[in-house]
Amino acid sequence: MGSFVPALNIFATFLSDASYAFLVGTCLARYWLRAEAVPASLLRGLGAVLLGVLIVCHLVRPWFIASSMSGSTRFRETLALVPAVLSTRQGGLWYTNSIALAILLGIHFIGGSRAVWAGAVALCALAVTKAASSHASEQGDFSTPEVAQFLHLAATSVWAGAVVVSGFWVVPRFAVNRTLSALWRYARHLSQTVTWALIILLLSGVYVAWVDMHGTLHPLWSSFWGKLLLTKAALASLAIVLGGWNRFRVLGGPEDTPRAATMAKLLRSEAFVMIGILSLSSMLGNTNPFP
Amino acid sequence: MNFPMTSTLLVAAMLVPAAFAHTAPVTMTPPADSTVSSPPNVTINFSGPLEPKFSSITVTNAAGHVVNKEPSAVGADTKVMTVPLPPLPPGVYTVHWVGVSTDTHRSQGDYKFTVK
Repeated sequence: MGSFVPALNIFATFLSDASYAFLVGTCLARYWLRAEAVPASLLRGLGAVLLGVLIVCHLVRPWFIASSMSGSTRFRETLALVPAVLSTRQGGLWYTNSIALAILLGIHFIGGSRAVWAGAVALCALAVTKAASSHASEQGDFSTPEVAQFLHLAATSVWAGAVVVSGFWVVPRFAVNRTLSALWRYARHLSQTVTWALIILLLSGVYVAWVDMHGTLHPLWSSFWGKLLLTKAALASLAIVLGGWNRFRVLGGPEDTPRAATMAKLLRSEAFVMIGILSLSSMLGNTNPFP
Repeated sequence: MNFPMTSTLLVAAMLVPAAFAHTAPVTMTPPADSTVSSPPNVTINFSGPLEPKFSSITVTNAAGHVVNKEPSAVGADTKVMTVPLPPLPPGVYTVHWVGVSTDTHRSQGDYKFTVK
């Protein structure tokens, strides 16, 4: 089992990050569609599946932390260390995540008028604990790198989640059942939100990158980490081009069926690219820039 | 730097994730490969905060026997870890350190010092 554990850890990180981002995207899509009289079932089922995946990833995380901290890959030996892990700083963050996930689960089944805000707070709490469990927390809680990391994670989740959920789930179904004007309204919400997310991503990312690379660009060219990052940069550039094309060439034009089909195709392509970006992120988070 | 290069770097920077952190020794007392009188303890100052429950220092003699009687401890400054030592006879000693950073990543290493 030993040699598979690092790969399993990367896969679990990817599942966790992706399901979190897609859950954010699902919530945003539900919010944008609130005035469109779309059946709640359109996104409710997807939200339940994503929340389920997120909870499973959360439940197995202490085992992966124990493996990482102890250097052991033996299942039982590592399982015995889980109580010790739960008494560390990472354990405290895990308990906080448990509360946030319980709130999201409660909202899913109970709902209510305050569900939107409670859900937003719970989703933010998950991003805060993720930032607090990362390298960025080394300078202390609520330090500038940690806050920047939180903004970066939140903006990445908004960008990736909104594009993937819209590209694979909402727009293909939406285009069949709704009017073109409703599709254009949805796409404008998506485009505006993603633009703001990209601005936050840029500002926070430049700062986080500078801190992580210790003020030098050398790891970009000299390490496996750097090559992964440059590949991810190429994919991100492609996603930005696809998104920009949709925003300025398709969304800016008249509302007609050929343009709607082009919009759906571009968005689906961008969604595939975003999944590639999320996969590379999971590998990058477990790779050392300074081997 | 031309525009494509600048753009690539900018996009690379904006997408950088929380990096994998390996905390590593910055200063060691006694220093690596030094010859000293029997030291009262071994103290290592790391590059980042340590997770106390999973970080450790052990000191072994030339025969490979552990010579520290007490376990190591991380101080109030969580970048500093110390292990007290009994009076050591002359010889070569190996310090084995394990540093687990607060973001869960583990690094380890060895160095030697000589007691005269």
